[in-house]
Amino acid sequence: MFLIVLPDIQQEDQLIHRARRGDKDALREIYTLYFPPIFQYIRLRIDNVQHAEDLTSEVFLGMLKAFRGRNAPRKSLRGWLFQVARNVMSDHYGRTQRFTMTTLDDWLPSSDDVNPEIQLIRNIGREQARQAVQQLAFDQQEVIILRFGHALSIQDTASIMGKSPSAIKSLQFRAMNNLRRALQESRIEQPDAD
Amino acid sequence: MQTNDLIEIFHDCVTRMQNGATIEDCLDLYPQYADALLPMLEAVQIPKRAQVSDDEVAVSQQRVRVEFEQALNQPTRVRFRPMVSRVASFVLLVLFVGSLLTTGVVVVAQDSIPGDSLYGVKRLTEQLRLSFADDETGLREEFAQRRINETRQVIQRRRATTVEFAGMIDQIDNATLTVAGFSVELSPRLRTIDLQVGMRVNITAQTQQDRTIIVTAIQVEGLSEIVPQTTRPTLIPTQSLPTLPAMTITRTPTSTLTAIQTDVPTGQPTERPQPTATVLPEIRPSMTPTQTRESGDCVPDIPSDWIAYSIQAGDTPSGIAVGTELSLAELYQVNCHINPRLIVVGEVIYVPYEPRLRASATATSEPIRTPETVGVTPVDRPINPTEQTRPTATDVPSRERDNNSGSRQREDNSDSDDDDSGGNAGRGR
Repeated sequence: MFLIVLPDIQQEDQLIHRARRGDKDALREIYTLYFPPIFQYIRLRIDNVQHAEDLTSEVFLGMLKAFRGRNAPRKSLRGWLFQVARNVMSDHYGRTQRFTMTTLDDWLPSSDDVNPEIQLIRNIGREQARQAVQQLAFDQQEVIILRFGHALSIQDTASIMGKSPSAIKSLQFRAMNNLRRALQESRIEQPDAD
Repeated sequence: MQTNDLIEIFHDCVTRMQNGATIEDCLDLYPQYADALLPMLEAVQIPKRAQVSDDEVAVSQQRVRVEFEQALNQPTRVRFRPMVSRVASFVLLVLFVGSLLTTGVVVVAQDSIPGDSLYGVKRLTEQLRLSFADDETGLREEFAQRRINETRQVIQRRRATTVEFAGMIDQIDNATLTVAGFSVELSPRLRTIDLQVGMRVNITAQTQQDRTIIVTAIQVEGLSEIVPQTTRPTLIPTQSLPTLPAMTITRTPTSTLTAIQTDVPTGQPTERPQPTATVLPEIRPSMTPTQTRESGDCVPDIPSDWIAYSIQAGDTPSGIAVGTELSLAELYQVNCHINPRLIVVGEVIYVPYEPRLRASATATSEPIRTPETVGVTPVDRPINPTEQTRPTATDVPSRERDNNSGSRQREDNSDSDDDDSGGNAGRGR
């Protein structure tokens, strides 16, 4: 059920190795492979497509510069790229800024399943999912985007966020629990709103 | 605690699912937590689902790719290395000397004299100090004094080595000069230079164990630009001589040797005259660029009864002038093709008759010289000037021709100071 969008680690190491020697094809390949997750990561937090593209472009131009200089990543290219993306976003929007906030008012339970919560979760659309995620605290948003949106390992997520792996374990649990609760509350609140 | 357990179980389930397990597999493993786990594991899809569609990503990726390709194909900025080679070589040199300084090597080297192994370090540090100096002139004076002190020490220790120093000519006695307090002998292989008391000269010399100093190269400071003459002056008097390049006086304090001992006694053109002489107006007040002699002035009008005379080792223009009962001005007027300050052994000049004092001059200079002799055989000329007809090009040995064409040098403003130099040099003899 998890779509692994990122190349496997072995492939990644080879790409880094080639890119460090100035192989343009390797750099193109990195762009092709990593643009979607990095763009998604940024796009999830920034509602403006144009903005998200600009910031993603900044990430990859920064990568080119790094590979030409002495700051090229040596391992975990994905971690490095997400780290840059994170820095780029906080440079533009500030670390703690919440992005567009909407309510979950328009969420509708789709059927009278025995477990309406599971039904709700299974049926939510993209916009609702976005809104649910954005209800969370910033670090919780981030941990679930990295861990479950981009299937990063505990270690990679920990190094990107500057936390210990065990802190990431707790954080991902709390984040998912809060997300689930937020969905459930919205479902409960829905009839009241009617 | 239950929460801690759940954190670990949730993590375990997520990891399993990332490796292909289903939610059901996970719930079967932890049935007691199934109720709590199910909604959370279902919710794990939400971040993924919150993402934009692949189509939207593809469009954005294509748009950004244009920028990315542009940046990718920009010429790579100059890498670190090429810049290093230029700057760093100098920096490394400084650091190297600096490291020597810290280890005391340079300090020791400061007391070294020519012939010591560390003498090169001393000169190197001097060059570095000069390149950083604010007061370059003062530093050069200091270093010039060092050269004299070093030479004194070398002589005291009876060391045979090469020394360099500069100073004023205090006295001239044939081929023996007194410069900066040292009595030096001109090497017989040195080309003849018309030196005079009061000139400032840079000397390169070989010290001997018997404390004699043999000058192997001498440069007169204040000598204006010397232009090697590429075309030999014709012997036909009516034809004008090659046009001389405009004289420029370059005031560069570096000493370039204008007279160098050559191994080939014929005076093959090994020297490369540099336009480097420093003009010292108090010594040579006439040597200013305004006194440039026009090249058209040099139209030699050689009297028909004069003879061609080949310069011999030990000859000086003033000596020749005295020996032929001419004034230097007269001599130079006819022989305007020669450089009065630097006449070369084998060079042909025109005189009314063979200089009479030449024999005695060489006789006196012989004993103080090393046995090396000048390989040029003087062109034998009959003493009687009447037997000598007008000189022709065939009178000049081909060796001299080669020599002259490559190395003969010329100074423009020969007229003004000739008499002066002749007087001094004449007295020297």
